Amino acid sequence: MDSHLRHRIEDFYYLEAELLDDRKLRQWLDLLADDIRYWMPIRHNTLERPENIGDELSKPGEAYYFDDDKKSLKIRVERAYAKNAWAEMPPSRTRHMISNIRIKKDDGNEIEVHSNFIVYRTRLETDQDMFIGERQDVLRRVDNGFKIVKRTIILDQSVLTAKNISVFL
Amino acid sequence: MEIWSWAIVDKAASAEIKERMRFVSQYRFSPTGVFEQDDMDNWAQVTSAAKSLIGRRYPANYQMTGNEPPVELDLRGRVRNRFSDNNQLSMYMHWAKMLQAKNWSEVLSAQNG
Repeated sequence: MDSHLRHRIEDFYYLEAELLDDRKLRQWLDLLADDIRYWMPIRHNTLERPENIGDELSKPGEAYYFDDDKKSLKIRVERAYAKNAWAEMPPSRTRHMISNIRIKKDDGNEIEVHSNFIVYRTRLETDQDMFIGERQDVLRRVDNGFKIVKRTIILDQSVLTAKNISVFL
Repeated sequence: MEIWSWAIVDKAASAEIKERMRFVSQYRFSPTGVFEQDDMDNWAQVTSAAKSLIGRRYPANYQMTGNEPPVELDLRGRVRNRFSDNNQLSMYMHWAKMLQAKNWSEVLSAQNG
């Protein structure tokens, strides 16, 4: 594994986390390619031990948390700035911790990267949530950096214990 | 509090419409829904307020039922075209029937009143 590439990808993810936690959502949107696919399936409890994690997840065309392209993500971002979008008025406080970065594939243009995340989220006085799981990303090399082309978010919960997911993971 | 919700689409609708409904219903109403995100505080806080000292002191008011009869549809249950207390009333009336019924077929044969 190319450790220099890995460091660059880490720096990219730390920048992304900083933009999200500082609530610079319009700048965060610029880190996503125009053909971004932002997908977060539902996770089921299965009766038997599944062969793969994928067997626990809903498929495209089924139930989801996020099934967004650039346009629908832009609406979500603009919503966060609206004064009457009460779920984020006042806004959540988040802290994105990204680790376990694993480069799976690299065709010279696009890189498949898996990583783990913990997003700690508090709101109002005592609301407290943790979103923990895995990101499966495809990053595309651009100029001096990367853009996110595809993100699949796998949450380590079946029933969502949080009231909502009004932040980006 | 755990919430289950369903989106219903006409069986005869085209695949394109069904796909659009799938996307739009969850995009707007779900834990990430651009509308329903806001409602979660409401549901939790209203439930909590209902259990408060004042909430428990007075009987609940379910008068908001409207006068018009249910819409005639080939569906179980009753359908009306307005926001109302009818869902809540129907639930309690069905519960009363379940408590009073002498057997299971009595429960199943009763239309929700």
